Amino acid sequence: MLAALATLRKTLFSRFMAGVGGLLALALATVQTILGAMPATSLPTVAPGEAIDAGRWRVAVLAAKVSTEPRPDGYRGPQGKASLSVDLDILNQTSESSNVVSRILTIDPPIAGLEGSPTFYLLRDRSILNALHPGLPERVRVVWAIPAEAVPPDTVRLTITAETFKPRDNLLATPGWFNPKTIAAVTLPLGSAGRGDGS
Amino acid sequence: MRLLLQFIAILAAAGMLLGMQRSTPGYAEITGPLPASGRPGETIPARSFTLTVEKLVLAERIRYRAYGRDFERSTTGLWAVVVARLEARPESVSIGGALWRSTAGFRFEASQRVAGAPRLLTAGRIEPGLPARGILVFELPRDQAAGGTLLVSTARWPRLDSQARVSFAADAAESADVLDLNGLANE
Repeated sequence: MLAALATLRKTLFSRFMAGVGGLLALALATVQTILGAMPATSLPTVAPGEAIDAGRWRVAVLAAKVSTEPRPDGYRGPQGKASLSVDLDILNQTSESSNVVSRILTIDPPIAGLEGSPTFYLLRDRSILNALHPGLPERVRVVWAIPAEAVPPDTVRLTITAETFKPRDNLLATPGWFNPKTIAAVTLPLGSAGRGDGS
Repeated sequence: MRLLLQFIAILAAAGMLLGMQRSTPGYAEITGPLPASGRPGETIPARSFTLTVEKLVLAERIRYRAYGRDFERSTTGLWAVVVARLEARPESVSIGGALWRSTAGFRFEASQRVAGAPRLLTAGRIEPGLPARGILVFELPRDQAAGGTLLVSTARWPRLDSQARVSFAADAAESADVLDLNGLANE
């Protein structure tokens, strides 16, 4: 009888402890989710032309404009569309050539009618940007198509996304860049006042 | 006393496990490229091709003709142009991976800014029995241009496949102000 009681107590105790552990894990996961979903309290603001360290890139946002002029390679864009272009100075800070630049800029708040993914142009060649090599800074123009009749706002706010380096990822133990995070914002005047140099 | 011994044993085991974890090469290293090394002028046999590097030229600007137009390309660094001979064996190959590894360990992919230039080894296919003489073009910062290693493979990221590696001495390069790529690697 006594032995049976002791076994029962042991079983109950171990179940209780497992329950406590489970609850703790649940609480931790919930707190993490809530923290992750919270908007960044205050995003640092950088001035136009100020270089910022964005993980694998060092980037300075120079100027923005809306125009109906041809793109750097001479393409006039889709019919009935103007282009919103942003000029950048960008340097690959990693040790490898890379062409993964498309994720660094986001227009926030978004501008109505803007088409999803922009095209990147290398202004040195006036052609579409391929890879950027380490230690070789380049001036790049990012072009979004925007309806020609749309009235653009006076300013455009861009956020810059950076990733962090992991020397060994969890799957293949290879080095890589992970966890994109918005690190800074820059506000640029748009329109004739914000015309970048070199059209 | 017994408790202390147990504690020490656990610590020792943890230390041993940590050491084993740290000293084991990663999956990427185990399944990485199989190097076939050599010097300029030597014929380096890889699994599916042989590579012979003839010369290396560092230039401020390059000029070439493509798509019926003349192009002149500048750079903030230097252009590194490798003239090499490739022979496929025993089957047709295309060169998917051409990298320049500088002495500081930076890895530069072959430049795509010269797409369409004549006799690029990275464009098109090389057939067995028809050795091809051609060029590989890289864009390097000035401080990375002395010495370095050329890495050539059929896959862009070779896994358990050979990679020809040609290491250059610091003074191996010829230099030019404007290098004309047209006819540079003609037979």
